[in-house]
Amino acid sequence: MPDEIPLMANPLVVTQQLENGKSIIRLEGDLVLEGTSPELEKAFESRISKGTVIHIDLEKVTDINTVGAAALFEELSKLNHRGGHFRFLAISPPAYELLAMVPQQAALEKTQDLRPPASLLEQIGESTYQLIDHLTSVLSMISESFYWSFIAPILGRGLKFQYVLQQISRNGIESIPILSLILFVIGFITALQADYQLRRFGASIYIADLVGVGLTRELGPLMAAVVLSGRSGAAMAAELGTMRVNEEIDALVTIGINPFKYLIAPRVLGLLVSLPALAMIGNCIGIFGGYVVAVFYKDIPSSQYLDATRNAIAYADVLTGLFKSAVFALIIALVGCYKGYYVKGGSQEIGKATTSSVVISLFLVIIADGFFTIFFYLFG
Amino acid sequence: MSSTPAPAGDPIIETRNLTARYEDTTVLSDISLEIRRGEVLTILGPSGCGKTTLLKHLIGLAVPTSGSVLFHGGDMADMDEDELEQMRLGMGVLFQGGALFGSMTVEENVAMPLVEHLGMDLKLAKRIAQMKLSLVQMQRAAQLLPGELSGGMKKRAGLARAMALDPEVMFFDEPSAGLDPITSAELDELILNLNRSFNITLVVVTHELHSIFSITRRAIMLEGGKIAASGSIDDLMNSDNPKVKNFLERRLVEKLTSKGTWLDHMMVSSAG
Repeated sequence: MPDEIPLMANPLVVTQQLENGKSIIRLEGDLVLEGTSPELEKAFESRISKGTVIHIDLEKVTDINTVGAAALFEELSKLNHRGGHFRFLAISPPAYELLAMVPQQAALEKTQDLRPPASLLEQIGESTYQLIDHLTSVLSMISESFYWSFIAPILGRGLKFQYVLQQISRNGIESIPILSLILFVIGFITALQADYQLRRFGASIYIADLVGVGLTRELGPLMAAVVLSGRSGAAMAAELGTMRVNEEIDALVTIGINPFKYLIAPRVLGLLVSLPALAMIGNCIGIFGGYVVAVFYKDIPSSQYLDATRNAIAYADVLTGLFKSAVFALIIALVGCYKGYYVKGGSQEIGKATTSSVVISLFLVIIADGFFTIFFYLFG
Repeated sequence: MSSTPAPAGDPIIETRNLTARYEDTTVLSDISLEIRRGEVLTILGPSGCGKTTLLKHLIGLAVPTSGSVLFHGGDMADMDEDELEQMRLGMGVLFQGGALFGSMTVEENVAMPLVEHLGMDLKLAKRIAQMKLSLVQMQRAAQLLPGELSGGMKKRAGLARAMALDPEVMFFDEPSAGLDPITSAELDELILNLNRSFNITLVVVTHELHSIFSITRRAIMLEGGKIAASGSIDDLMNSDNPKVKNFLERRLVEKLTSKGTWLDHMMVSSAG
């Protein structure tokens, strides 16, 4: 092997012997390891019993690296914790230099398992405390956000109106193209799927009803929420998280500016305007998608399709959709802001906060949607 | 800086038996100190000793676990939002990285406290921003975004913003961290000038030795969350606490020489 640089110029030899009743482990050569050394482990393993004293001779250790020192310390600490003792007979200067850099406590401390097993009761208690902590901070965040978004402006404590507009432009207007594309396709798909079932009964005209009602009540708000939780919720978590990590939020507070008024209320209000508006725009585009299928593929007359749509959609359907999308907006904005605002630590936490804000807000949006659908089904 | 300077004035900020705990770790324990009008107080100590936490308590950004922080004699914990806001108007803070608002130009950053807080006309606020920026030799960079600035420029811009409202007391969190020696010496000089020319009270948190020696008038050294020593640099150098002396003399706490390590006690010869 001419290309390989030999790691061990002087291979490690571990010998054990008994001399005048003394148990000696002698290391010779290079204690240069890349991992655990079975020889070393074996030498110690066979000699450990309570009360034994092992003498360690490191006189002929010619070289040593960190892994070698750690492996040796690991054995010594195991010995210590099983009630054995050790003494050094001699230590060569290179070995001494490295070994002495490690304080005794660190060298001989028992290496712990990553997580000491907690009892079930402890775990329940611990997670209950965490849950309470978490709930308190979530509740205080929600109440502060509501105060600064809805009550403070009425009380004349101010609202950064230009920031609300900025948020509407960033979350609402800039999302129109992607949302239009998605809802056009959704309307198109819904129409095709509907036709697949309906044509068997010669009832293809009901495509208009299915597309119209399905979009205004359900798919419009839901798809708008999905797009915005990926676009805006994630952006909120990332922006606020970055500001937190850069101490910009602390700086705001020290300048005497309330971050809820300045950062969070505009985001909540901005999304509260944007999402319902986007859902409505999306509904129209989606209905147009269905129209394309019905008129150009199924040859249903244009006026007939539009009339059927108009008859199918009741006022309540639109209101339901608007109400749902407002609730979705609150969920997305609050989750995104909460995750970003309470980032602790460094920049890697921002990534985590962003991811979890999307996951949590999508989850909550779907749960809320399910809840509303059941509610309106039973009582609507 | 040879002897302890006489108390410069009445205390602006005081802590009484301030203790701060995060979960199970005690970050600060039983800290009592006074910041007096017109003085330069340095809070020093090794990394992780609680300096930044203490700073956050002095500004009222953190709530003590026990004990209290007083501003002009009033307990910060008893203040309502408006009073806290009023208090913070009198404080300027330079954060470690400058903490400039990334979406605004340097000039807008400096003008922001004036516009937002005093409701000042934007033109006037920008004029004042220009004045503050020229104090830190940053007038040329007024239209740049924070992302376009170097580390030293960010700090100077942050300094200009902290000065915007003419605070009576200013805080500096590690002003020379991450700066080259010349830039940081300039910044130190700039900071001291604020005290000399405008009689602003200064609180400087630092672990950089060259800053400590050039800035310090009166110092408090933290060690493991407690005040290990206080007084002038000379007082600290003559402290009985070896950790204080070692810190200032840039020595390792545990010297590793060939004699007296634990390995020697483990030798057969010493054990008999």
